[in-house]
Amino acid sequence: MRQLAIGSLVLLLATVGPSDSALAQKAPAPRGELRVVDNDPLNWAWITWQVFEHLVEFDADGKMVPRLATGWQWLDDRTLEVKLRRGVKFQNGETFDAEVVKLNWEENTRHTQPHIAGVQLNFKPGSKLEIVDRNTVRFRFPEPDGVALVKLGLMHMASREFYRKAGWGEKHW
Amino acid sequence: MVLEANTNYWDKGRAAKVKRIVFDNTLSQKEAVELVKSREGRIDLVTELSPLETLRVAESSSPPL
Repeated sequence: MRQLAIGSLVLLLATVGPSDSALAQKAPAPRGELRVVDNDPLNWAWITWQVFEHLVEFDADGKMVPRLATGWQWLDDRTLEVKLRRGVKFQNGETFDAEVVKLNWEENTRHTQPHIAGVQLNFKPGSKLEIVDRNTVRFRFPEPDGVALVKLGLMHMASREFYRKAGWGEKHW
Repeated sequence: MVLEANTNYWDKGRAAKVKRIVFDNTLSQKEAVELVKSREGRIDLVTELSPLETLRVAESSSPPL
């Protein structure tokens, strides 16, 4: 909800400015500074969800759509192959690729409860990620997992630098 | 907490519109409301107001809504 609220706020500011007919082709350079006081105890969560992107997400109609992934395919009822978007860089210039997806997978799955919403969002112990090539990863689950993509949609894709300098910590939430 | 726009973001349709967003939680909500109402730009946005407080801001001489 708050994520939507912040999103529409930013949009509102943009519409107040001069119109840009080329908006669809080329994004105008970001401008201005917005200063916020948000004492909501979940403030960190709204920021986190704005800052990190995910392999997949739900669109406004509730449909699962690829983001940092470009697509996925179930090879059998416990093997999910995900193609990664090429040419994506983190803000610090690092390349987004299968290696960094694996790093994020390992840093998330080693925690007993990486998600605030509950342990039901954890992957089953024994779930694995294999790198197929630079832009393809394969998830292997010990048993069929109908909500695997939903769980992947919750896994923030952070850079290598993030894990070198900070990392999640067991109780980051 | 300062968020800086990623000008190399891959999805141009979702590119950041604002260059910097500063979250300043050193201020109380009450102070923040007054600063928003003053329109000096020190604080642009304050969240979690009660309905009554929201009404007071809306009814102020220059409601920044």
